[in-house]
Amino acid sequence: MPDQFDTLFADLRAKTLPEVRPPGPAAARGTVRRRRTTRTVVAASTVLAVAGTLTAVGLPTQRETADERLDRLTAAAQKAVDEKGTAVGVGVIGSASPDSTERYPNLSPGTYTLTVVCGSSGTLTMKATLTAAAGSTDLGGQVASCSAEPVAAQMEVQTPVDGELTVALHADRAAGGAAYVMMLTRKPEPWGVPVAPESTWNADRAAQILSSGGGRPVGMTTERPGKPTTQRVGAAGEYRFRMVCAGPGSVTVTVAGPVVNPLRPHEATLLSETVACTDVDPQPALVGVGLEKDTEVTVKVTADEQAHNKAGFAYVVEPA
Amino acid sequence: MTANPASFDELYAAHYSDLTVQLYAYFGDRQEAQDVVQEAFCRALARWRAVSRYDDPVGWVRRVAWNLAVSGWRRRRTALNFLRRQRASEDQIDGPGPERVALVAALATLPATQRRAMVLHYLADMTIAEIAERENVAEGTVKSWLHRARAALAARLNAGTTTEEARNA
Repeated sequence: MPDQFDTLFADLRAKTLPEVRPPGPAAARGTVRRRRTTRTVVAASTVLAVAGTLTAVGLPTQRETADERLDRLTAAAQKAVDEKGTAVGVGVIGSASPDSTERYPNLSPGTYTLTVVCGSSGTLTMKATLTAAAGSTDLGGQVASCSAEPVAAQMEVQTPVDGELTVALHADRAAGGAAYVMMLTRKPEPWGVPVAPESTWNADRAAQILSSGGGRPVGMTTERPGKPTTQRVGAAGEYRFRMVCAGPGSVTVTVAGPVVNPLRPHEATLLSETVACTDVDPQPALVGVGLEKDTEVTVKVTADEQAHNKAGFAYVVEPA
Repeated sequence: MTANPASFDELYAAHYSDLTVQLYAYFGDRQEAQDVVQEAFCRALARWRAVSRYDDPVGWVRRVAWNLAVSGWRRRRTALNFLRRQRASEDQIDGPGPERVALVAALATLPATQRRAMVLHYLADMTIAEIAERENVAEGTVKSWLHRARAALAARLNAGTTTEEARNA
């Protein structure tokens, strides 16, 4: 017979589950890959240190080892990255095969540079894909020539929304087994500027318009694409979003519920709406959405070029 | 060996949240529980070829997570906090309700063995025999842990309710 603790623990479980935010299997892959890379780099450094010592004491050394070659490839990639003046990124070391994949989960919107240096001979073709809530987008490709004197191949990719960047690598027969080093670096963000007073002013203005209709409006500035805010609703039912955008251009508003299955985050998107911004006398736009009990929704706003860091947005969630 | 072993992604999707709730009840800290469970899954992934062939891969992950929890893995960790960097920016959420706070707080006052037995029994749905095997003790010992834990929890929760009623009177 179930005792009172069955109920208590069942309640604890039911109320805690919606609050759990799984980092996701992709994040676990990233961790495991980084740990392996770190181990490889440590091993390579140890080998180089030993080789250096042997040379210093005049003992005979072998020709370039695999680890030394990796170190040279890493140096070439780092040099190319430094020349681009990009920020610190993530490096991976791999062995070229006809079909391999590198993944970079949880990338925020921005412009990234993929740098690949491949040793040995042949070619290594890379194709980049962004997987986001709305689906997958092909971001183009690049061919790297593998050579004993490695030259870095670089491609720039733009990720307009949060997502996972997948780089599929295809080595031709000549490049099979060749070592490669890939680095992903982020370009300085054009929106990495402080929020403009105009955007703050417009966000306040938009919130003020909504406050006259009741509720507690949330104001959002537009200096960063996909900037999130969250709201929680207690009871299940039909809700409406009252939204105002003040200023130039337009913004795209995305409302998403909690991600129950991290493998299918796109299922959590409840609505995506473009709201035109108006400088003079902006008016609220209304959108309805059905929400379940105790739901936390994430509202993200991405401004277009005209609205970027100028327009201000505000919204209110209220029962319909 | 299972005929059609689940993929890592399937295992993760099916069990991450449940394991986190169990560890949360043990730690009283949801974030700490999430980190420990994620670490356990990372360790499973690192040796997935072997783990996926086990009869009960989730049992392996659960055992690793609990071992990490008991060993205070996270508290001793000082460098290279990859999990923190991976974690999507934490959204602001409401705190837990008073009943949940009371239960988790009451659990925290129990000795570790009793707390573990309660969590494994009520949240991981493990039988007394399974807990006894896991803890390497006799079934009678587990029954005793559960009995004492129930009594202590009931006393603490009732005391909390009485205080609350007195305050509201």
